[in-house]
Amino acid sequence: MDIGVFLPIGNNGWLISENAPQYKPSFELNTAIALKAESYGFGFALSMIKLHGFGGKTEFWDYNLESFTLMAGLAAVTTKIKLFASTAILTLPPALVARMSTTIDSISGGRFGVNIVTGWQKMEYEQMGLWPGDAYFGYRYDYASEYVHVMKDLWANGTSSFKGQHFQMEDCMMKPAPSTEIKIVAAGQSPRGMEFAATYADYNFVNGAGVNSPTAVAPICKQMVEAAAASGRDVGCYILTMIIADETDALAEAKWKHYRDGADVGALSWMSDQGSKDKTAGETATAKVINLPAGAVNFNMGTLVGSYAKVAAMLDELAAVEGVKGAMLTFDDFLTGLDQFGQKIQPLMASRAGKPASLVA
Amino acid sequence: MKFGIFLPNGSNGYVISKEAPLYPPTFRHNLEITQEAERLGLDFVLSMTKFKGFGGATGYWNAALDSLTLTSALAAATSEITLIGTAPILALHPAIVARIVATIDDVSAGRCALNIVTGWSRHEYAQMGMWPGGDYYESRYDYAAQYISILRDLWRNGTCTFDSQFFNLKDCVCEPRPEREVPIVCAGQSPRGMAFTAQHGEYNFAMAQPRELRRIVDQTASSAAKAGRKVGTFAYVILVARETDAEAEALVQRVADGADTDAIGNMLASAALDTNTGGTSDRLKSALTMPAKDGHPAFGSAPVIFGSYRSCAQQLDELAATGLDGVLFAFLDYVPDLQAFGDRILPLLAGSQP
Repeated sequence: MDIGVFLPIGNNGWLISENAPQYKPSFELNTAIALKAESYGFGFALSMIKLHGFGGKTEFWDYNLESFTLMAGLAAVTTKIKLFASTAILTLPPALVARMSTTIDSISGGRFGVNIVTGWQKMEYEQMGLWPGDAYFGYRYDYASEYVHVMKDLWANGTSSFKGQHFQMEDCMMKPAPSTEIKIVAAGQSPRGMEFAATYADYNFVNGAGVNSPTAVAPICKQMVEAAAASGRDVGCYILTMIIADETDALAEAKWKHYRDGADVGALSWMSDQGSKDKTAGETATAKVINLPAGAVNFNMGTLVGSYAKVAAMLDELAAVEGVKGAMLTFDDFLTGLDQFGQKIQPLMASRAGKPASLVA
Repeated sequence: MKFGIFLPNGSNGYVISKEAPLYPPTFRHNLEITQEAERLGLDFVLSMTKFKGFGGATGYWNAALDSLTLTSALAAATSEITLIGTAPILALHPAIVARIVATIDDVSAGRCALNIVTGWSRHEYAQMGMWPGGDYYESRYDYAAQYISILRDLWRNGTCTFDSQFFNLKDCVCEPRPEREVPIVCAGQSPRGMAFTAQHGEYNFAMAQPRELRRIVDQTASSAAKAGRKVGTFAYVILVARETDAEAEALVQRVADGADTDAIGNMLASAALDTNTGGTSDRLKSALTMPAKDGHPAFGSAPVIFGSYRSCAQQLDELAATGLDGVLFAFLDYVPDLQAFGDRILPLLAGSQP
């Protein structure tokens, strides 16, 4: 199973809790994380793009770096790990993102890909006058399809004259060509989102489900497998998973409880309000799922809590789910968590046999 | 005087000639130049933004790396030099650029600045469906002024509300903020452009004949002073230094004779759309008949300083006497020419440390 890290480009990572580690995003921290991940044989690092936080006592995600420039910087200081930046497609023209991508391809020596973010939080775009109206919720994947089409034209041919509903190119030029194919990442959870992923993406990120229930993603992965079969393309599921591990189950459980007890109610209610604005969202859509009460403190991200051995076994279970190609991990404390994963968990995983255990002192 | 390097992030750098080095832009090349500039103790590097090349036999600027991501990567690989990225303000929303610059500021630990380009080449934006129409040539400085005001609001306060014919921001947020004022650089050549920089920028990059520089320096400084501001002027020149005057002169002549006239024609046709008199486009048109030292189209109409190392040092000292704050250099063959600049010219300059 491929393993990647979801970089904390926003403050406090993915725990909306007063009891979780409180930190600002920085290049220094993300460099340390990317280098550790690289040394433990991680396949990739991905950063999201977030343009408006949730506030609350923890000022959750009120501090966010920009994804492409962060990944460009990381490309210059890493050597092996693949890097993905996220484009909020309502804010960046596809021809520019194509050029930024070919630039990071040159910086990284062919280690770069793009994550397509259609946007579920209206406020991010409304605040800058870029929200096209609520009808966008209904056509955002059509918009995204045209967007990716333009970029693929430019990468493959150096030119695009694509004429669509949302984008009109007129002998648009973009060189240099990337040294290798730029991979596309999507995070479609809804049927339409998965259809988009099946048609245009190489990887689809899926929210893991529940606490210590690694196989709960099986139905959604099966849908992705079917969508990919229909499009005849190879699109693997990458499961977004938070790891909270310690020497014993009890110690890890206590940490998890502590984080939940400190849930930042102010930030969570903002998120819930924003998530409810997409009236077209189905039950599996991101905006709905992250707000389910049980685990809103970490976006209801699939969470694996326990001893190193227990977490390793659960990750192996996840690896065996049909359609799963990888996991993208978050941690309560990224630097400590990465060392625990690399030195204590990964060596116990059958699905990660042969990966380096302790390159980082 | 401060010295900086105009990074060749477009194909063939800044020389439009079949007799100049022809190369695609790569990170490796730009990194090597930047690290060499840092080693020499130079002050900054600047990269441009370009969305459409001018073709011709040399494929001039047909390929170009993105400036802001390039700048961020160079920041990660250096420790002292200042890095200036260029924002195409028609193609990127100011709230996005504010966050991009805040990120580069963090990557560089406070070593970045931002160059604003209003855009004079309609083709670059029309190809993406992003050209606002012919009156943009007239309205672009208003657009740019508002754009900068939004950037500074976000950087100073972390929030901005702004409503105009161009922008509509309501409680827009952007954190983290740079820990200091990020300098803004412009390259206004027309009277309107210079007045703009005096009011809104920290530095003006001038592409002008050496004898015009003193006037530009004074004019920029005095209009800035009227606005209660301090704005420095940097001159952009292409430096061609060789062992002897004769060698350098012959090389410059060869490059001028090899001018890629098709690419130059395409550039002039594009510039001819600009209605702003006395601006970049006018200069390109008038440059066809100019000697190299005043700006020949094969050198992108930039003034060329050429001669022996000693002669080039003298000419740079003369430039310094105009009151310039600094010089932005381009070269024919960047890495060896930059090394020669450091080894052979820098030690000869007045005020240089032994």
